[in-house]
Amino acid sequence: MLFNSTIFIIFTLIFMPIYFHLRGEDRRWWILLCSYVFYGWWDSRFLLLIAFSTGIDFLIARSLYESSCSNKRRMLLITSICTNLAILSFFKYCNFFIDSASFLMIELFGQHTNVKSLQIILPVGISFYTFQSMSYTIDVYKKKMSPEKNWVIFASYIAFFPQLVAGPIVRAKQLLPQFQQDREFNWQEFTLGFAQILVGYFKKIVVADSLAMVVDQIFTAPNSFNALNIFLGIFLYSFQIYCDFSGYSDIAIGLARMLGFHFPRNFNTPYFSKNFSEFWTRWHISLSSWLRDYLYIPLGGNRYGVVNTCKNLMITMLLGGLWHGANWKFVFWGLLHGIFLILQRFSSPIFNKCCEAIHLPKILRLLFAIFITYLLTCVAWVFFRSDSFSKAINVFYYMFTGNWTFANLKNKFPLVKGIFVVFLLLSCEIIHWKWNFTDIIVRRPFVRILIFAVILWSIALLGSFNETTFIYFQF
Amino acid sequence: MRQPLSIFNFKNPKCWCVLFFLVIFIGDRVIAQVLKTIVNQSQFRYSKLYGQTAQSDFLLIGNSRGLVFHQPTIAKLTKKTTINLSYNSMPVDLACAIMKDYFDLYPAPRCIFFEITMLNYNNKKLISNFMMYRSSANIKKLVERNFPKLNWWCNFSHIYQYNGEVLLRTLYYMFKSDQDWALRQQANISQVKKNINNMERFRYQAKQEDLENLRDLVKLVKSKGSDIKLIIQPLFPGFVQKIKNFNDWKQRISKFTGLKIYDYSQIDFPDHYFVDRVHLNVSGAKAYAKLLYQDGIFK
Repeated sequence: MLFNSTIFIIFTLIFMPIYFHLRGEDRRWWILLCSYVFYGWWDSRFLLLIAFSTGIDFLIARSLYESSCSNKRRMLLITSICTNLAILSFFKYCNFFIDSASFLMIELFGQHTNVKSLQIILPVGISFYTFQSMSYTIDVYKKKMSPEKNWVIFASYIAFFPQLVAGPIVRAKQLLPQFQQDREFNWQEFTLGFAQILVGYFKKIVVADSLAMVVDQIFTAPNSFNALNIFLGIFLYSFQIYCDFSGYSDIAIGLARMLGFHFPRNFNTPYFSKNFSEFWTRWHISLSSWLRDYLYIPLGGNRYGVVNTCKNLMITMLLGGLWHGANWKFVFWGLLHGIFLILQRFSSPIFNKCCEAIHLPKILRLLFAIFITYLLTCVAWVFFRSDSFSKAINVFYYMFTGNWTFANLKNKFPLVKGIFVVFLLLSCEIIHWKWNFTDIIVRRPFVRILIFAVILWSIALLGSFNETTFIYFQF
Repeated sequence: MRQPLSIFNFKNPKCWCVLFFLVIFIGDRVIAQVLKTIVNQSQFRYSKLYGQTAQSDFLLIGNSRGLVFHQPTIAKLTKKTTINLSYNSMPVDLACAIMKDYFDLYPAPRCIFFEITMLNYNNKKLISNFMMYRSSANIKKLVERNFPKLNWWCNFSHIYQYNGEVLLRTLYYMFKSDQDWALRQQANISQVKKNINNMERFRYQAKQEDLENLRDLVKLVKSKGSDIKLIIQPLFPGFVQKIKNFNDWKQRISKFTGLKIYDYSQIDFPDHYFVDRVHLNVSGAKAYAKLLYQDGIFK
């Protein structure tokens, strides 16, 4: 069930009144039932998988809490992590490993293997709920929290439909206590949640889906477009993926807020980052903080010298890339980000000294840093978006060898619309940054009506209503 | 005790919701009305058509190949009023609906020039972009048949009728004519040749439904005392040979409509007149218009 589908609107209209009508355990069962209906809408077989994963981690966490033997506790943790990673590896990475091994056999030994790729359907959102579930057992193991006693609460936490398929990855410590108490209806929170949902729909339907039509054509056949088209295609893709994913997060966070739950922020104007460290504290915050807490820091973080720091950064980014999908292009995307983060560590002091030497004003320094960070992010996005590594190289090849004339530009009208909606988005983000809309929405009910109405009218006029799936669903 | 001046309290959720839906509804209708006024003022060809300022002797219609009919050259050579009503990826049923609308709104033209390769490329999606001209009964009927869900949403939100690329074009041509449009880009000739050489042979299509629509249009045109000519514009040398059933396809259309087809597909035009295998550039379009004139097509 997609957030941008008619069936989801009907689903929500049925879910909400009953949710607020029920209390206590009945309400929890209702959340769980509806979350499973929401998830099972794609393929009911996936429900077995999520129920299995939930059951395993629920039982292991209970045993972890009851056991005082450190060896047994370690074994239990390893069992939980291995089970989760095994499920993830089988469904997401099995074919990737088989294909890569076959390729290596042919390239290195010239031998063709008889092993064929398996027909496996990737369960939607598996990477998200697996990570969420894993963080729970790790936290219980580290005694950062006590395990949940109520299976319905734990299952609702894993399968909670607003964030089930594409995050944000909410830690158990933050969300489980919210399930334990009935969330009361609060009109102010309800309208703020609704506002965030509208913003999410605007980002998805108006920006991301409008841009998708242009971007898809360019990345499918870059040789059919001139250099200016390709350049604009890359620029627009950076906003397509941002709006697609942050739009989903906004809808998820807003929906949860309407129900009385609080999710952490997942995006914070990432393209205004002045370096890559900052970028990763603003882009997909729930994943980057997960990787920091459960991978980078346990590996040693930045504690054991420069070489180890670089090694840890690279491992984290490579695995972060692989988390996105079973394809070498994602690994390469992670590698690029790893390289950027390492280079940044060495180049930042030099950059600062150069700026001071030429007396570059602070504002220009900041703008230059933001521009360079954005540009390099776009370079990495090309690998992320292209169907394969060779196609990504082709994109750059045709961009640098093609002509830049305006007359040869194709799809002028969709491009103009794309640039206009990006401009609209950036303007809104800057205005929101300067004058927080939240205050206005809370304090001035009539202005709230106007803001909501303008968003809805914009969606009706500029939206692309193809019920296209969210990019991050594939992860 | 003093009574509050206003009984409407915005802070009351129920009152707020009522006002919210009221603002959404009224705003939707007002904005749609403003957009309608803007669209009607535009110089875009369909705004002119439905604004009743498009009366012409010659009507040119087709998909992106129809757009290559160079209206200014034709008008200059023939000294007749001419309008090109073609659009990229225009399906036959939409083209026929537009032609019928013309006959409903204006006196019959002298002749319609119909670029028939549109029978092969049939993309109904464009019909949804013409929602803003739903005041035409012919277009409304097409939308209702092909996009019932969209039609429902357009009744619900009038702004939604204006969602699409056609509105952008309408705004772009607000103060200037779109009739001198031509492809001005340079082609990579060697790449075009290479693409044609690498192409698999394929078949041209002509759906029964489209042929029937075209036949109905021909009947209407004849009944009004006008003429209609079916034309195939020049195609890049060697491209026609890739079409397995080109002659059969032409014969089928000719037999169905009872009209002769003026086939310029294999005319000896130099390569630099093309931007790709099926479109002429501005020089090619002008030369093509002159050729049609010399051949007496406009008589």
